[in-house]
Amino acid sequence: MSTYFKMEILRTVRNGRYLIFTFLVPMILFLVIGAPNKGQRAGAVTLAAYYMTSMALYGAMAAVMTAGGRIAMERAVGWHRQLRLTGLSGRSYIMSKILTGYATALPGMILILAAGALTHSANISPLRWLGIGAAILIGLAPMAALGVLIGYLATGESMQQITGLLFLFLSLLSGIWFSINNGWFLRVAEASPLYWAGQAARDAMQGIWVGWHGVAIIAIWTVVLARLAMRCYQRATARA
Amino acid sequence: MTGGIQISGLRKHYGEVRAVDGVDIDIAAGEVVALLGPNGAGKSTTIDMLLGLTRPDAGQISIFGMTPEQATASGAVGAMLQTGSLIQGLTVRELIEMLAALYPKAMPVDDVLKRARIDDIANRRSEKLSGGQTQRVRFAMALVPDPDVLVLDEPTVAMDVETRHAFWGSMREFATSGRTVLFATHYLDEADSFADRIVLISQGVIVADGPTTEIKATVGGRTIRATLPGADATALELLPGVSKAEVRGDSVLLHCSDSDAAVRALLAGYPAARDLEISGADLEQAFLTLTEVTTR
Repeated sequence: MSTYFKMEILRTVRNGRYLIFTFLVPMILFLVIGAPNKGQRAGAVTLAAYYMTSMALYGAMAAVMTAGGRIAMERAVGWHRQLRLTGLSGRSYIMSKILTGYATALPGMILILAAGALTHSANISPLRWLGIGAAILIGLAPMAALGVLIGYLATGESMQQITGLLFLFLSLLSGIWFSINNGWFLRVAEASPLYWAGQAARDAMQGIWVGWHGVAIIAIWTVVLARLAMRCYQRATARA
Repeated sequence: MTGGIQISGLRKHYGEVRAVDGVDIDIAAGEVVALLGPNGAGKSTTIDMLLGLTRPDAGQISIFGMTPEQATASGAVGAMLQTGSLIQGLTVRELIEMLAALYPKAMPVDDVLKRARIDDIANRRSEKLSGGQTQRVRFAMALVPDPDVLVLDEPTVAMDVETRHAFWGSMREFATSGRTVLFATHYLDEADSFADRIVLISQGVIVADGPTTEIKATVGGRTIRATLPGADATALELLPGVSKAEVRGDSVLLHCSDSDAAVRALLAGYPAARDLEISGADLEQAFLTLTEVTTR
């Protein structure tokens, strides 16, 4: 099983898109937009700090969601049938995808936070750095479920378009690119688990508890999306 | 009864289509059996049910006393599916290691590579393989659990001549080690060269089942077509090598078990015969004839 997991990670990091979307793009955006703007505010924090957490979250989200989405590609080439001839259960298969997503999210996230520390975008205690990381990883749970859902809903070809569009849409809506402070835009954002993941990361940076409301939104989306994903999984693998 | 494979009353319908319509096959341990039939005969559906990939509407399957799911998960059965390609981003060796990690016991990776004759491409990435190499790797994947039973669904369809040759070479090696092999094919030649026994399937039912030599005589004969006015079918059937004669107006059709002998006898006995045409076995036609006989 550990060999299987190791191979899953190897496959992921060897894909060129992995490096681009979980590390290069968010890192460049942070260095260009965030790091030079320590004097500017974005809500409660500086623009530099805001972009540091946002880009760490964005890169990690790319890793976590793509891992689930790869299920669609494996279904397209008939690999799931090959795997069904082994002792690997459907549940373990999905779990290994989610774990791969998280494991491959770590390096990019850590490097972006490290860049944040080196550029003095945030001068905080080690505990708060850990808090940011934990907030991002826990906050991405619904995105991991969403990735698996796409894996069973989409075809191999449509997977990338769907994931790409969802990325754009969700990140705009959830205050990844700019701070959302009031109005109906905030009402919408507050329904999005991704908004709360970002909020939790920014709050952790300031040593503030994000509050049960945000945690509940993340939990509800996780349960709903995981259930949908499970249903799609059962439908996709029902032995016709 | 726990040895070998028992399939009984197997049935699978897709709406109006009776893909598999009551199939019974008993395979003893160590037998090499070809499931021979034209496209759409129900070969793949039967094999998918045997592997637990498709749930039968009715019928029982026992593989060494196990259900198909138990048999595949435990590694007692290895299979090469008809369709499917490889996932990308891994070398051939890594791919085999990855699968080996999923079985309770697996053949050492080097042995798999050697047996499937892919040790020369072990370090090549899966996306860089040619079609023939991909097929060899897919065969290797079937060997990974060191299975007692090997199931192959039209293994050579996507292979070039050279790959096909190498493939049957490694297959033969595997079969001589006393293991059970069931392969689906629509090539009579393949069934003839590699199987001890042929199970003929057409339109979801088994139309013949017996030793390869016997089945080949039934469906593998040639036909001679000739123009011969005023011929008598009964007399023509007495010619050596002719198993059945049909007279259609001025032309005659001779189904032969030995077409060489039949031609000589025909020309000697009937100098008026002209426009001779000898054609090889037409499997589709043979299947249709056999099916008509069974359903009648």
